[in-house]
Amino acid sequence: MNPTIFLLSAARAMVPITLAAIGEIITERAGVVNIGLEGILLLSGLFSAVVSLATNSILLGVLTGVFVGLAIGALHALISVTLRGNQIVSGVGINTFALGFVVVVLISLYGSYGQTPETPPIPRIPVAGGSISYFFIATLIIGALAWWALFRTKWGLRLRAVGENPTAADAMGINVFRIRIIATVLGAMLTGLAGAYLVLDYVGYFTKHISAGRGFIALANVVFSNWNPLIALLGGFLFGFFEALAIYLQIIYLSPSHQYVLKMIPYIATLVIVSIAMKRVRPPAALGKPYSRE
Amino acid sequence: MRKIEIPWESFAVSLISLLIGFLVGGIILAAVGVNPLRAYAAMFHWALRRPGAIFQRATPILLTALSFAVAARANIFNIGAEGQMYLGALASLYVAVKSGSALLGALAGLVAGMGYASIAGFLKSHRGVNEVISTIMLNWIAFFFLDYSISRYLADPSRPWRSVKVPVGARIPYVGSFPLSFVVAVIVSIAMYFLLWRTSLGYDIRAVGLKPKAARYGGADVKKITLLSMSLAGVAGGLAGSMIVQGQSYYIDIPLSVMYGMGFDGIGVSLIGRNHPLAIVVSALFFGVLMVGSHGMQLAVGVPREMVTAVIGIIIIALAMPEAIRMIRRRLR
Repeated sequence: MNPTIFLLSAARAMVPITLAAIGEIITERAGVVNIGLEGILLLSGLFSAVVSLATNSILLGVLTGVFVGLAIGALHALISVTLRGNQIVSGVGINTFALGFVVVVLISLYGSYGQTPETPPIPRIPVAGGSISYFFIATLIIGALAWWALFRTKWGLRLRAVGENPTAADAMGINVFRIRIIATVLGAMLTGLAGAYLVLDYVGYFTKHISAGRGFIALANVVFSNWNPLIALLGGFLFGFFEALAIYLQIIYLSPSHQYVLKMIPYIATLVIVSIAMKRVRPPAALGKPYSRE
Repeated sequence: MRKIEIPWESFAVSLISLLIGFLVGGIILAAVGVNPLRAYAAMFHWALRRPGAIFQRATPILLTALSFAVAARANIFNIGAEGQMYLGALASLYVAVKSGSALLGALAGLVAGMGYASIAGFLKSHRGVNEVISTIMLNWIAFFFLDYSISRYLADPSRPWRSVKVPVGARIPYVGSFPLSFVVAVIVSIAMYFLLWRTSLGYDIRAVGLKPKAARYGGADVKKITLLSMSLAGVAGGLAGSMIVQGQSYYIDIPLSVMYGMGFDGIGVSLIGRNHPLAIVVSALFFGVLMVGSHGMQLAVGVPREMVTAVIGIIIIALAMPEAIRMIRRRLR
């Protein structure tokens, strides 16, 4: 197989895993964990399809995806930060809700159990051997921007302080609650963008299985990156590479039972990569712990 | 013998979360043009006329809920019951077919679930890998492993999209419409309760869950406890698969539709039962009512069965905020 086509395929696969991971890095650096990424991918993906089908506008579809992310992020922030609830349970609830809700919407809008009609065609940048998505370029820029904001600005310093030691940050006059809410909403918005990409660009329609564990692979990428957006770009490419490899091998090996083995590749690779990386990384100290001034 | 205390506060939180779930669910139903009261009435009416089906539906999710609960007591967020159940079902099917024995089949499922869960336990205790990530990856790996094994080694030649059937002698029977597999699940719940509250291992598990540092000073080996509680979780998860394949479906189909999602359902069951093995029996039966009733709702008002999953998700979200529920309770007083 032509290596260019293979690289382009990995570049396509990396976008959702990377965008969601960068978002989650921002959230987790402030001390909030959101394992509802899978659910956000589903809900933002679905509504980006619904809106782009209704308006015939890709742009409105993308904006809808980001907005759905914003809404769920706000809910998760309310539970995790304001109400000091259990962040993991909230995330599981979001994922479960999404799983059921997307089918209810699919049936009531399209009378289909599985998928939406095809969404309008999306423009891409043509290159030799195929095309590159605008989302891919955006992912690289967002990754670099997130790194700069987290590690080179005062805002990022404050955000990281809130995730490491909220009590000390509070004593220095930083508004812990506000920063955590902003970080949670921002992170979910990037996952919403990932969901819109998955539907409008990567697949071209919405199916109820479209997320396929990518929200969790993104969480693995967060760990792999040691909570660093630049390394998450590399990690995303690595995870995307294994996805592309699995797809490529499935085309070559036509025996159906072997296809099942090949489909395991991205998940086994994720498990192995995280197991190796884990010894070398350090999560934010206050990750997952609600902050209270009492 | 010590009296079993009923924690009214937990009970109230679960009850209010259920109400919130049905309320928001009702709003969604109304939004898609369905009368919520009619939909819910159809659901309960349908379910309560089918008690056998409720017990059948409750059995696997009771066991996967126990898998979640035991690990949760050690402060491990085990969302791997789905994969443990898959492997348990495969092992049970294989051994039941080869040996013709119901007991050996169930034992094989138990061991397979235990072994599979201990992978995540080991990765957490010895490599520090977050169990949420590892168990989800293991779920997907198990899913495709079953597809592979069944299509390659256990397929029914006349119907290649599904496995051969468990022989009649290795099945767990019914009394009328009541599945005896439910009794097995209840026995496991009681055993887990005794293990967690009446043994020193159980004490250590709960101590590690509540205060890991204090437990370590108290002499508990946190790594060992982590590994052990995941293995115990796997026992219940694996048995869930055994009960499905030996007590209900008798075969496994290729996209695993005979059990798909029942491991995840267990998380909600356990959370509503406040991770208590005995309370989980009640919440599993309640989920059984919802799931059986969802067919009736679909027939009566045309809303897909997945509506129930959405309601369960809202209930879980509500359960994540006991602080808010306490506020509501104070207002109501």
